[in-house]
Formats: sequence, C-alpha cells, structure tokens
Amino acid sequence: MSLLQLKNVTKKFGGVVAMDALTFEVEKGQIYGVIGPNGAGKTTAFNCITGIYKPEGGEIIWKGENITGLHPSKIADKGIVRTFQNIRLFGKMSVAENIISGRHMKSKQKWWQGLLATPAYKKDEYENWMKVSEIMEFLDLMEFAKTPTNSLAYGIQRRVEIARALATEPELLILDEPAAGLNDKETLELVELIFKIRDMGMTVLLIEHDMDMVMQLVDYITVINFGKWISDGTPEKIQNDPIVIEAYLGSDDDDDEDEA
Amino acid sequence: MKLKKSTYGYLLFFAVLTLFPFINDPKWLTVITTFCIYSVVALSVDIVLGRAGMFDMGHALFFGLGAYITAIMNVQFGINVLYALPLVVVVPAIFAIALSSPIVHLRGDYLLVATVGMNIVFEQTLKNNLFGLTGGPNGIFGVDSYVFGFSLDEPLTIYYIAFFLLLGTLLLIRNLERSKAGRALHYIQEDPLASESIGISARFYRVFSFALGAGVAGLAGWVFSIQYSAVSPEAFNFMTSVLFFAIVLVGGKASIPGILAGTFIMFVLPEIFIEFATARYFFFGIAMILSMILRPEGMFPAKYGKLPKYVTEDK
Amino acid sequence: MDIFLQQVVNGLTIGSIYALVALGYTMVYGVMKLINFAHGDMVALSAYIGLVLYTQLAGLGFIPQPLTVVLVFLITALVIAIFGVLLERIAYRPLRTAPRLSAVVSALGASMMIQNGIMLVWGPNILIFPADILPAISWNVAGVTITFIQAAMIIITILLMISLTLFINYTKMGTAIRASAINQDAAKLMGINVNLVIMIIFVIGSILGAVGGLFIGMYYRGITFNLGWVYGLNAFIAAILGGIGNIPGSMIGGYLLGLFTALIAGYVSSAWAEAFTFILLILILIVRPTGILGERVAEKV
Repeated sequence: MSLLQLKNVTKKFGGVVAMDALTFEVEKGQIYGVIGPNGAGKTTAFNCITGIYKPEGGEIIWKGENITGLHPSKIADKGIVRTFQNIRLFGKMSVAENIISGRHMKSKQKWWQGLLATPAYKKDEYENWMKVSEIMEFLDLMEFAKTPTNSLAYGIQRRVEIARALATEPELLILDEPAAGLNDKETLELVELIFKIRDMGMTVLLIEHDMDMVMQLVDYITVINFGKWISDGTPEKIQNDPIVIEAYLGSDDDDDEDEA
Repeated sequence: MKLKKSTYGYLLFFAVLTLFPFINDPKWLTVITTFCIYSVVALSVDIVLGRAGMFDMGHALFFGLGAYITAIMNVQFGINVLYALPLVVVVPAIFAIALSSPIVHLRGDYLLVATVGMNIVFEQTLKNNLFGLTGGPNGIFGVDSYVFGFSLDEPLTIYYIAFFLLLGTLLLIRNLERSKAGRALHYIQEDPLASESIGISARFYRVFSFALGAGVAGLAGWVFSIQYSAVSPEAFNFMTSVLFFAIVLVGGKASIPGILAGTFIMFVLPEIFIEFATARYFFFGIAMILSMILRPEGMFPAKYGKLPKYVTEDK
Repeated sequence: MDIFLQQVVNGLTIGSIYALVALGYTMVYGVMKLINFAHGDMVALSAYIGLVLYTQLAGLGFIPQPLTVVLVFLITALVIAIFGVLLERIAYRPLRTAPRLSAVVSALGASMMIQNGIMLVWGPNILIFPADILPAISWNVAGVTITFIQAAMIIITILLMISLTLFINYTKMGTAIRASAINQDAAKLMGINVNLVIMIIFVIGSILGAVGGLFIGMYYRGITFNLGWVYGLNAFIAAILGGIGNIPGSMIGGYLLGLFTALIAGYVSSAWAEAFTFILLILILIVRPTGILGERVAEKV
C-alpha cells in the first residue's frame, strides 16, 4: 500500500479549475518530485494535501485512511508536515523558539502542568529543548539559537523552516520549492540534507523549479501542467519525454526563461 | 551570582509594594490596592490580546462576572465569600469558552467589535436587574467579607490579599511564558497558518487564552468586590475594557514589566493628578497619542530569545 | 400597522444619522485599515460648533433663517473637515508604519482628548438646540406622521450618498481612493498620491460626520459631550454590519440598524435596545464573518 495517494483530486477557484483530477502515489521511503511550469497548480496540490484548501472532488488517502478536507492541524497530527514557498517562520522569535514550535505535537505536557511548573512539566521541557538542541547541531544552526529569524539570511531561514518541520518527526515531509532563492552552494547542501532526511526514514515530497536539482535528487516524478497530470516516471524517463519538454519549452517563452 | 537588571527591577517593585502600607495613608492604600487588582486584570487581558493576539475589548465582562458572582452569592444568598472562590474562576472561564468559541475565527477588528458587543450586553443585563439578582443600575451593596473572625475588607488585609493575588498571577504568567501552551499562543498570533501546519490548533489555543484570561480576571473580580464591598455596572462597562486594552498596548504586549508600567501610567498617574479633575483626561488623551508615537511597541516591548541555559551549552 | 410604519419612518431618520457617520468610519478603514475611534467625537464636536454658530448668526438678526441654517451647515462642515485633517496629521500619520494596534490606541487617545476638550469648553451639562431652527411642519400620510426635519434628514442623506457614490465611481480622485483601498503600495507605485487620498478621505468623512452631528442636534435637541461614543458606536456597528471598508455596505448597514433599533424600541423595550443591537451584530458576524457586503479574504499561501 502506498503511503500517500491522490485520486482525481480537483480544486476550483470560482470558475477556474486550478487542479483537474490529479492522481499520484507516493511510496514510503521515496523522494518524490512534483514539477511543472509556473502556475501549473503544484502549490495548490500541496495545499490540498495539507488541508489548507478543501478539494471539490477526489480523495486524498494517507496510509489507507481518507484525509480529504481535514483541518491542517489534524493533518499535521497524522505525520504530514510541510514548509512554505514563501518562508513562514515566526519572525520575531529566535531560531530555537521557532524549532521548539515543531515539538508541540510530541511534547507531552498538559497546559495546567505548565502553569504550575510541575516536575512532569520540567522533565518534558528538558527533553524537548534537548531535542531542539540536537536538531540545531544537526542542521548547523547552533550559532543562531538566540537570533530572531527575521534578521537571518534567506538560506538560513530555509534551514530553520526545515528544522521546524523535522522537529515534528514527520513521516512525510513536504517541501514547497526548497531551493528557491538559494545559491549553488546552499542548493548542494540542501540536496545532501534531503538525502540525509530520507536516510533517517522519512518520505519526502517536493515541488521544485530547479531541474538539475530535481533530476539528481528524486526517485520518481509527476509532471503537471494547467492543473493536469501530463506525465510521470523516473527522472531518466521524464528528461526524455517529449510531452514534458514541450510543456516546459512552451512556457519558457512567457515567464521563466531563467529556468530553462 | 550576577543578577540580571530585570531581577533588580522586580525586587525593587515588590519591596515597594511590601513596605507601602507603612506610609499609612488610607487614600493611597486604596489606590495601590486597586492598582494590584487592575494589574492582574491587565495581565489577564494580555493573555488574550498580547499573547494570543486577539483584539479583546470586552474583558471587563469577565472581571465583572467574578465580582458579581461574589456579590450575588454573598448578599442575595448569604453565602460566605470564601465559597465563591472556586466559582469566580470556573464560571467566567466557562462563559469565556461559550462566548469565544463562535467568534474566535473572526478577523481582528470584527472580533474587537464582537467582544465590545458582549461587554455591552453584559452591562445592560446588569442594569436591567436580571432575575432580580444583579441589583439594577446601582448594583449590589454590602458584601460581607467576614471570614474566620477576620474582616477581609480592612484596608491592610485587602491590600495584602491584592498584593498576593498579583504575586501569584505574575508567577502564573511567568510559568505560562515558559510552557508549551504559552509559546503556542505566540505562534498562533504570529502566523496561524504556519502553526496549524505543524499541528498547533489555532482555534483551541484562542479559546484557551480566553478561558485562562477570564479565570484570572474573575479572581481579580472577587478581590475587587470585597475591597469596595459593592459592585456596580459602571465598574465593568465597556470603557473599563478600553482602559485595559490601552494599558496593554501602552505598556507593551506580552511583557510583564510593560503591563505593570502600563497600569501605573493609565491608572495611578490620573489619580495623582486628580486635583486637575476635569482637565486630566484631556491631557491623558494627548499622552496616549504621544506615547504611541514615541513608543509604538509600548514602554517595554516583549523580548524573545530567552532559552533555558542547557539548550546552547556544549555537551 | 400604524405603529409599524411610524417606526419605519423613525428608523429611516435614525438610520440616516448612522449611515452618514458610518461612512466616515468605513472610508478611513478602507484605505488605512484603522478604526478611527475619534470619529464619533468629531460628530459630537460638530453639534457643539453648530450650536454656537447658530446662536451667533441668529443673534445678528439680519440674516434670513434659511440662509442661517445653510451657513451653519457649511461652516461647521468646513471647521470639522479642518479638524479631521489635523487629527490625521497629528495622531495617525506618524503611526502609519507602526503596528496596527498602536494606531488604535492613538485613536482612543484622540477620542478621549476631543471628548474631554468639549467638556472643558462647554461644560459637562446638557445643551439644548433651539426648537425653531427648522419650521415645525409635519405631514400626515396614511396615519403616519412625518415631520419636516425627518423628511429633510432622509432626503439630504440620500442626496449626499448619491453624490458620494458618483464621486467614488466616476472621478479620478474616486478611482484613486478605490485603488488605495485595495493596495496602498501598488497605488503609490502607480503614481497615486496616497497622502492626498487620505486627506481627502478625512475631509469627506468629516463633512458627512458634521452633517450627522448637526442632524443629531436638531433632531434630538439635547447634546452632551459624550454623545460621540453613543452615536459613534452605533454608526460603527452599522459600518461593520455592512462590511467595514465597503461604502454601499455602510449605507445599507446604517439604515438597517436604524430600522432595527426603531422597531425594537417600538415593540420590545428600549432598556434592552443596545443589547439586542449587539446580539444581532454578533449573530450576523458568526454567519458572515466580514459583514453583509464585506469582501471575503483568502490568504495567499
């Protein structure tokens, strides 16, 4: 059984069909890529999976369970956690405070234990902060622990957002254009990081524009255009697929020449 | 051991409050008792407004609920004020859950109006003497606070009760700040969507902040009704809520020193300038504008980045 | 049925005041996303200024009565417009980039300042508008009494609203206002002088509020320094009901609220009028979180 299955998921905005009967399956342990020209409906797909949008049709199946239209926090609770294309960190707060927000679901303290500072609370706090400490070591963020995230460089902010998602110990990590705005060195580091994350036992689903990166990173790709599936397969197959090449060339004329 | 500047500040603050009664001036003892109570209410408003980021301009409702529960139980039913204690926390909290649940999804200003509305409905209910219990426009007089042979409304006794209430509330808020629930409030304020995506339910914590804020305000209402041995609708009307709203923002959202300073400026200073009677609120309005222009984030803006020491230590 | 129709007429009269004042809130909110809490007090101020002007002008003895009334309206509107522009310069402009709530507190401070300023100048007691400002004519149509002032209020309000709608929809400045309401930064980039737009908004809002304030004085006759809060709050509810920031919404909200309060007063009890008003408001917000004509805002992810 696949980990995540989209079956004919359809999303409309007013009269516009942003996503038309999209179907794909992600297997456990995969690094799965969704690609497509700008405006193809990739982020819409992610927003449907993570519960931000409610699709008008189709089903989203997580480990055999229908999770279509569940509230975002419920979906996160199931083990599906995402990052955002336009980074959404808690800007005024420090890196460590951002990462511990990811421990919210795993942390076992009750609200009244926190208010009374009971021993159970103290133990739980210690364990979770130590976990944050571990994640900061892992992602090389220790030096920024107390720095407000809105004063950090873009590349570091991306890392913090991934750290926050990792802190939730997700089963499926969804990355929405993780390499956007990164330089070559940072992109390379990101690729290594994603491999490491997969090796830790997580499944990764990502949208990416950077073709070189996608091709060296992912195990399987679904290509969409105008909200519709147009092809899928291994990177080798996709690279030589005339339909995909067409779709990209067609769109390159209007808006993203730099991606070609 | 080297103490932080804020620690000295708190030590000084509590030393002044502890020694204050020796000045032995009944008028100022009353003012400072009310200052303690108002600080507690302001801290409770801050849970909702400053921490969870919801524009709550109706919090006097919960403060008043605590006070009226005490007065009604005591005056109308002859029950000792001590037995009102659990109820003044629980009932406002339940009201807060029931009232806030349908409205917490409203965006900023719409929520503000809804909370104002609830406060005004509450005030009008009190004035209309609901079920003959609330005493109408004049309120209820003669709260008898005789407990174990002590009269709680002796100026010095009630002062220390208010003082310890403030102390307890400050500890509670400090604990909240350092706990999962307290942090969650900040997250949902800054970015509800990002919070949801890592499993923090914005809805749950919004209602939670109202309930906790209402419970604390209710308790403050208990002390308030004993201090004045009376309650009246004016004390808990919408203008009172506006005062607390302004206290939080003039002082600084989510900042304990800010809230204490805010209460001092907005409540104690006007008492000092009481000789100027009518003109003082005119200047007070100007001062509010100036304080926002000069310090838009409040007197003492909240500080972030306080971590337990062990987090950044090398292992 | 007679009571019903009579209350409809009364409701339309009060609704006119609410609608006029609500427009001031809504226009400022539309462009600045700020609840101008001082607007209600500007309305109160206009009633006081109007009363002083009328007493002075009528005291001269040689100006014909109708001209006096017109002059009172014009001069009051001008003075309040100047006050409105000053208010924005002093209390709001320095806070345009500050957190939104700071401007709200500044607005509350401005409200307190104006309200207590009125009290310092004219005292805390009620002042009475003379009864003979407008002719004491009334008509009886099908058992319903309409007084001259009621008719005048409703007609003038409707005329003002038509002019405003034409201005907003068909002039260059109106387009600039609408553009600034949608996206201030984009409007700036397109060469729109946002400062000028905001000034115009305060001028228009203040003029409409001044007319509302004079109506309050002439219709109810008794004015107190804190009347701004009472009418301001109701007008503000009207704006929220219609969907704050939405100009036709405020007009509809104002009349709806006027009718609602009049009917509550006629059939239930005025002791609960405010409570019912707010319960209605909260219920509407629960069903339609941004008011009746409010735009639905989807967040960009």
